[in-house]
Amino acid sequence: MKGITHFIMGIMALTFIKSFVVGAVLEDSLVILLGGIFGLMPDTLDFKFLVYMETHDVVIDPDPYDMRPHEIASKVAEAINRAGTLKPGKMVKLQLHTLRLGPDLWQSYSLFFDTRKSEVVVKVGPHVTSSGVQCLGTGPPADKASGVVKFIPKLIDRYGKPTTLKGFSGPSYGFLKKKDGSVEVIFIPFHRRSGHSLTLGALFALIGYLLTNRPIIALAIFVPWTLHLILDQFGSMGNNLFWPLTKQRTSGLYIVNAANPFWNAFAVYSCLALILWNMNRFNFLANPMYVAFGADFPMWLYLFLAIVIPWLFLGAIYILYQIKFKPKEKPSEVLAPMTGAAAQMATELSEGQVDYEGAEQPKPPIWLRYMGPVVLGLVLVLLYVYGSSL
Amino acid sequence: MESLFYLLFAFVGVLIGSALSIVPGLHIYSISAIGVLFAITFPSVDPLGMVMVFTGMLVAYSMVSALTATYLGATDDSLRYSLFPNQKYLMAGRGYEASILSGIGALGAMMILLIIAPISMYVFPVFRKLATPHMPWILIGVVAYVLQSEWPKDWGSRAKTRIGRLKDGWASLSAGWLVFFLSMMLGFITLNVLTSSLDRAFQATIMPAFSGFVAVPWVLTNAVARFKVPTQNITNTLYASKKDVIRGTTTGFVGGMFSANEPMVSAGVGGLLAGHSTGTGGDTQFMVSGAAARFTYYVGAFFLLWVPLLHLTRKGMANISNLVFSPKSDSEFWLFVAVVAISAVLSFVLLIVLSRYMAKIIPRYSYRKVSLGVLAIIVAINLYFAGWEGLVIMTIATGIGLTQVMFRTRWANIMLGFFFPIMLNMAGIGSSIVKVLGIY
Repeated sequence: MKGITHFIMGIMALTFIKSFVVGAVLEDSLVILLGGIFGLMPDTLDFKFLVYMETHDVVIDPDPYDMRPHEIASKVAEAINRAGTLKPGKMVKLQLHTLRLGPDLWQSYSLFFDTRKSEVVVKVGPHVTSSGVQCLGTGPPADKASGVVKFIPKLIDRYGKPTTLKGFSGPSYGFLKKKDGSVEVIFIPFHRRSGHSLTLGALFALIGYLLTNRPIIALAIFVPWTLHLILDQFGSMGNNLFWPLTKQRTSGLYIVNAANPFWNAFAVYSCLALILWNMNRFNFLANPMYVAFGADFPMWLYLFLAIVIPWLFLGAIYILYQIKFKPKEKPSEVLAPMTGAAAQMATELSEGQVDYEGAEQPKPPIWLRYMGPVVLGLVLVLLYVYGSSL
Repeated sequence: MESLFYLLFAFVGVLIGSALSIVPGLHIYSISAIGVLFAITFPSVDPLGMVMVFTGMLVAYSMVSALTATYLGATDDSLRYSLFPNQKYLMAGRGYEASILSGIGALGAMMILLIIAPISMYVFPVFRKLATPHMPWILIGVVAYVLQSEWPKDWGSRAKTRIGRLKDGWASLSAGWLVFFLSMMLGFITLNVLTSSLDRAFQATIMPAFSGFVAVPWVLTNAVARFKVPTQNITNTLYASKKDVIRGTTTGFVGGMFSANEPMVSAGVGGLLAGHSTGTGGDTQFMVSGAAARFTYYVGAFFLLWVPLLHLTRKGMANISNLVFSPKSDSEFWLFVAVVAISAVLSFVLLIVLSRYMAKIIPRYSYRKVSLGVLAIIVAINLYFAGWEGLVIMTIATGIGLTQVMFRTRWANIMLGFFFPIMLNMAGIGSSIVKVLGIY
């Protein structure tokens, strides 16, 4: 999920704890902020530190002025083949670089693992801005538009979608040899390993406790950290929960797409609604002047009015949009003066790019996938039940 | 009949506000000061009528100043949020389209404001009651999130070693922290060491600081870049999807309303938070949401003063208006809502007309000369309102603003850093830090 979702969820969790909310009202305490900070900490560690600790066996850094997609695809396929010859548990790591053309201009290209045909597909796209807007008329000539190269081992790609490199930093891939002889694609292998483990969260909590001698501070660190891992588990990538005891991250639960704006907005909104509920509950103990509705107002009714009804409405609009309008949607923007002909060209440019077809992705059994929301619900129920006595 | 009379007042306000909006470097709070001059100069004028003039001015400013953002450069933080794509569009000959998209964002925000008006008296007082005692951690939480959520911009570092890559990645991050720190220090100094008399404190400190943080660096970089503005394409059709416009508008409205509700949170910061929450992406969404956030920040904050059972005083215009008139009744609220709606439509029409005019004339002039002219106007305005002390503050702030531009760190770091001392004061720890720093 997005950073703000983790941050708000961490804060929401700590507003269930009475002493934090009352302390904020009476003493301007800032302890609640530990929730946000440690809610976001796993990603902070991964993307500000651990990303730079990764080493790569293969680095692909194409010339943006002479794009050779076949050559890129060959190097990727070679890395996969090399991984196939390794001992189980070993990995070949590959780094793809983004190609900067100017302060706000990049050469785009995409990489796709077609596991059904055992092919690496590389496609060169147009120039794009940092926000991904295409620049009209910058697409490659037909003979340099794509490259397809076959690989030998059976490949498992849990992500299952093409990755388009547009700007900023490029992704890395790990090709992990499995015991059954197949090779698994590990997208950005530095991510969600040690930085996303319960053990490291427990270590931070222990440090927090030792520094303050207050067990509740350990709780204020560990709970938001754990909620981050639970939320991340909802996607496809998973976590390495028991590092260093376990070496690789497990599969995600495939419940939501972590980058989906609808789910992120839903999570942020729901957390804000719960924060307000908790403020109302505990403000009463500190100063009844800051209470908006009575303590006897049923929580289920509040949740129904504040979360369920608005999101049923928005959800219906979202589903309607997905079914009815999205398939007909035309590209929304290109960077060029728009006249009728240019707009037509832009439409053709974008329509030609969506022709990937991948194999069905391996997913965990359905009962396990439902465990994600159950665990999240359980944590929230525990916070609700015990938080008011802490 | 009386209402029509007030609409006429608002219309006058829209004209004044539109004219002032296209003067680069003239901030809304300077316009507010002009409002006070109005009130003092014409004490016999009906106070409600006077406030209707202010309303028209505010609505026009929050919409029409998209023109200066597009054609001349930024004037404040809320424009900075949407400025980059606007300027890109200008360089692609689509400046007119960019300004109209910004206008649409603002118009959309006005429509959402109309939709929520009937329930605002039930919803906003609840937020106020619950959140008021929690303001310190909410505000410092915003700062913590903005600082923590900035990811390294290593531009695909090619360094061979881990340390080399770490250094590349942390260049922009550490510059971001430096900008925050310097801005905070400037905040401590300007807010604790009184540089001017109390009645001119705002004009003499915050306005020059804002000009230095945002407007001057932008104009300077434009002047140095020496690019030529291409001929602008004035089109009757917009190449933007409904999805982008709707998403941009709603996101901007949410961000703007958050910043309107919270002290010291600017539209840019509110827009950033809302953009992260809803995954805003692409230039169209960026421009539309920036304009919607800006409109909601200014007009929404003033709106909160009029909401029955709330009457919350937030941001400059509410404070100025309170000197002249304090709204009390439901009918005044609805009059205000109607005036905002009509003023917004009028402002949008003026935006179209003025944008067509500017799109025609801007490419005829040397952009470097235009930028230097804008710089001269900014300096003159700051000298007039803030004096030499103000120019010193503006120069220091320009250094901080240029650091942000050079390292491409988040501009939000500057704004939040500058106001951080006030947040620390609210949390009860500001005075201790001031003592340690020896600034008092």
